[in-house]
Amino acid sequence: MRFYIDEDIDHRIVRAALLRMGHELWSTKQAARTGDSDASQLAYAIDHDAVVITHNRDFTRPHRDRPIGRVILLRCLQPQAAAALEQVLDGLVPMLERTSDVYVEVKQDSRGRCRAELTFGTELR
Amino acid sequence: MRVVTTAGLIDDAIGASRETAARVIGITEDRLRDWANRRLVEPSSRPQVGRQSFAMYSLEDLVQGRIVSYLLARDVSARQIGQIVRAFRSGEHPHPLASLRWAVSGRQAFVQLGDEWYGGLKPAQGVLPDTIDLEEIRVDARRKLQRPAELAGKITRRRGVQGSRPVFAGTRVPVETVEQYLKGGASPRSIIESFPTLYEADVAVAQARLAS
Repeated sequence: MRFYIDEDIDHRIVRAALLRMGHELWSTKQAARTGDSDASQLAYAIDHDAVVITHNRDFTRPHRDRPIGRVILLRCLQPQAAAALEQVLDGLVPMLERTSDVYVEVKQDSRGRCRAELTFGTELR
Repeated sequence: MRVVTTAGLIDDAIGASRETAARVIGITEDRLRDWANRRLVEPSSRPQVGRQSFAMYSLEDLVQGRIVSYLLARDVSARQIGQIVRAFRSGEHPHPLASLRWAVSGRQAFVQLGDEWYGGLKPAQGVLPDTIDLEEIRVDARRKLQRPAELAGKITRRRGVQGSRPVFAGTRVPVETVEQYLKGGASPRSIIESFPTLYEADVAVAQARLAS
């Protein structure tokens, strides 16, 4: 899959993790979109058929009831982002491939176990 | 695999905002809007979210913009530039100014197709066509697409970015994130590797905030 990595994500460790899992990824810096607004980043990702990965809670706020595009919100500390993705991503990819609109919240409990909650904007194909 | 240039950009992933495109070309956003209306330089895509649409400029859009700017500075009229762009835009040359060889002589622009020069008349014999190095323009555009160095060490809040919480100017990196990394013992070098849009001066500002 293609992933578009937000600037608040630890690029070094997430890049390594996604490449290990065989995915394609690039960042706002590589797209010359540093500092641009959440809405414009989402539009860019949709245009490039990519899934956004962010730590930013506000990213999905405007469309939380009816998601637009595909966003993974990592609700864990930055250094744990790679471990969180490695725990949940293999299970998520088949879902991400079957819809164009879904928000995924990845939460971590005190033991470090991660759980993904999905809100769909459109039905699975 | 995509080719990553030295500036850390991926050429075919570039989708610069109108604000960034105007900065790279060296004109105002209003001017760039006007150029889009005249079809001199148009964003390659305008994706939408809900009812909002966003102009996104590719590297070749920007190169075309830089050349339009250059031609105008050489007193070639916007009308004539528009004529050239319209006449030579095609599937093979979506950005005719950025992919064809062209020249300026007097206030007239010329475009070369095969052995012929087009643009109203051929350059007079003995006049060397004043050609432009497109690769040089591309390299300069890539350099200007990076976060401006003068923003290093500055903190700002911006609507629609991290819920208006403080971020380093020109980035989406929250100041708080870097402070957490510093508290965790991370070195400035490793922080910049983790958040590659940051400069050393940004990390220094976060260190100073923690110390105060």
